[in-house]
Amino acid sequence: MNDSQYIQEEFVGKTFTQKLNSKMADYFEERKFGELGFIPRPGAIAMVHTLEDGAIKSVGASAPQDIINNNFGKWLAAMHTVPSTVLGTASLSEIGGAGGGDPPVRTDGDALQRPWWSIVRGDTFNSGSRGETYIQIGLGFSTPLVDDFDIETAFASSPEADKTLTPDGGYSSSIGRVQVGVNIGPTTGSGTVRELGIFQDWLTLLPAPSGGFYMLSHDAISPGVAFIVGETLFCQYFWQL
Amino acid sequence: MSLQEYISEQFVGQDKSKQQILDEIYKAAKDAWYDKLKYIPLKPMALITVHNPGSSIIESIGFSEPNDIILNNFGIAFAGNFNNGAVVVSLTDVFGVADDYRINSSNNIYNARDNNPNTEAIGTQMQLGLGGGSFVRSNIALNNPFVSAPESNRFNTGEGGWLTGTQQVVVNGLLSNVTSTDTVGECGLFGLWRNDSAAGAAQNVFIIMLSHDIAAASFVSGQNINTTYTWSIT
Repeated sequence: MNDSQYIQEEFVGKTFTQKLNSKMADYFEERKFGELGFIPRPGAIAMVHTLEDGAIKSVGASAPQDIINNNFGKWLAAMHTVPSTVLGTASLSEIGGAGGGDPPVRTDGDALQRPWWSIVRGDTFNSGSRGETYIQIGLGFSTPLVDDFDIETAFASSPEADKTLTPDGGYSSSIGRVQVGVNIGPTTGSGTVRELGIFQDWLTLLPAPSGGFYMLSHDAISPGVAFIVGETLFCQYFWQL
Repeated sequence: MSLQEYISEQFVGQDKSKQQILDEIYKAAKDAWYDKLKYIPLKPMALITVHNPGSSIIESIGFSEPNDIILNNFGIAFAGNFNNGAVVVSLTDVFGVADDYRINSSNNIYNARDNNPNTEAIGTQMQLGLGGGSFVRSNIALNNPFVSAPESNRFNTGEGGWLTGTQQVVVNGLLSNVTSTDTVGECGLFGLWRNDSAAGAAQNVFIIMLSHDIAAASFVSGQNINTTYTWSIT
């Protein structure tokens, strides 16, 4: 049984409940120790369910051998620093311009102030007004690359076209897993989800105060998750620690 | 053959850089020589090499056990970064004191290394110890630190680096001229993080252990101990 067959059999037709969420966690736990050697990177899963009864109609997941984005690596690296009182920086690649519009490429990167552990107030990095997590779906087919900084092909209609603010992430000490997920819907269009991205909306002070979305992981979703108007997509990222 | 036996056989007496060693260890993992190693979760792996002063020849070497785990402190802080607004989580320092870790807060500062004058250094450190005892996610300090200095002390890391080609985060620390003869059995990675309860308030630095690892390497007085933590995210 391959991954696609497994998740179809395990999830389609089930009710979207906490029990199911647990089942998803079991799936990733199994895969970690399975033949594919899942991890060390986030697993992503997307599914369509109806608001009426919560039944899952379609589900897809990232492949264990997917890669992580350079942005994440730089962000993680920035945690490690010589103890100092001096301001530190790191450079990440932002999506193209405010709101993801043109220009599509901005690879110079902003000078971020210690983008992880220097959580600072006011007008500096990751202030109270900018620091949230977003997830976005897309219909792109291409294999994600380490230097990706945005979804390849966004949907045309909202909310499926948008970067959607997630609830707070959670950590389970018993299974050592961090996860964050969000419902996107009801949809106003139809299509098939083939890619998923997780973003941080961060404020940077240097060289001038500005906010922006930084993609941390970009994942191909297989099988594609088909949806029609009025449905809800649930998308979640898992990090096994 | 255990992992420790394998790497000792491969590297002791060799003049290889840390990156060469890491490349070979991870290649062995990917070649499925050591089954568990290909299932490394998101956590740093510790590489310890012992050298005589002025020499790059490896006298002793140790590497994290593949099934080592990362600590709750890291998981809690990491999860807190995924949020929809101001988040406060609680981490526990090496003395057992629980402290608020403020993420995305407009009122309070944690680990602020900003434009305001800082009087306390923040960053990351490492520490080595004898080992033994339990290694669990709730660990907050080494189980058995060495007695004599400098090997009993936490020591500063260098700057962390992200290697795009190998998809690794690498950070090094050096403990020079140890004064005892013993065997490393554990090592830890620590954050020195500052928490201001309010603007202008006293700055408090908390020492938070993020990873606790089993790694073995013997040393004698006068030698230098290199420690490298690697997050391999391939």
